[in-house]
Amino acid sequence: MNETIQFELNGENVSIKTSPMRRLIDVLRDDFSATCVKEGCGEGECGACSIFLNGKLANSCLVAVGSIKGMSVETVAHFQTTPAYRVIEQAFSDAGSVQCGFCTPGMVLAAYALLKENVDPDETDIREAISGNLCRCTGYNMIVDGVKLAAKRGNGKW
Amino acid sequence: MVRSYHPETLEEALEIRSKTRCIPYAGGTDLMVRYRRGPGLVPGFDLPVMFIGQLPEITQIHEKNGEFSIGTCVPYSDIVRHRHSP
Repeated sequence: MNETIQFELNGENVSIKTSPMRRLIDVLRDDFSATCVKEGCGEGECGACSIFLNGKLANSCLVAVGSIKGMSVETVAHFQTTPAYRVIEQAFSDAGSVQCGFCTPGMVLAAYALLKENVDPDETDIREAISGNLCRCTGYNMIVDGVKLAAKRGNGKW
Repeated sequence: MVRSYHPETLEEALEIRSKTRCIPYAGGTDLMVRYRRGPGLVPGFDLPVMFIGQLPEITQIHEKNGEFSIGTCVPYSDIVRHRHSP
């Protein structure tokens, strides 16, 4: 049974008539062309489909769209317009944190979720913060380096 | 395709639950995996679903006289980040 579901997507109020049980990742990719939201495992283990839901990191493959009425969704494409993104982007680039790039949208959001709460994370904090994101290329060390570099360059201004 | 319920209070949720066979849905972590059918497909829920993750009575941590009650829908991360968590 289709329902009208309203929520905020990247700062704009949107409305969609659809099954409330559809996965948010499908709605974002298929109905709103938000292909920056990647599908890896489809069962909440890999973090490639990460988004901010009411400002908190969430796996959009595990969210039924009917459960987010009135909530705000932010994808990495929107986060990309912020100064914080540019710090993380440059740090990831300089540290070689990106290889195939499939996990990167999720890693960037996980890095930001960490840095806005903990401006000076140690390696354990960083590894815990990205523990919900799988990367099959880098072996993680270069991503950890990228987050460390972003923390240093961000200098607390998150 | 199943219908869904969006109660606004715990009382309303309990009333729906007493009259209807439905699946309470909080965060979705287990249910969305159990009923998943793949990319682009609507998960195959076979009963109506009641969204309860927004109910104020069960999504908050309350403190009274040094005792805490943790709502059944409070996310683990909220407990970890709570100011009284060690």
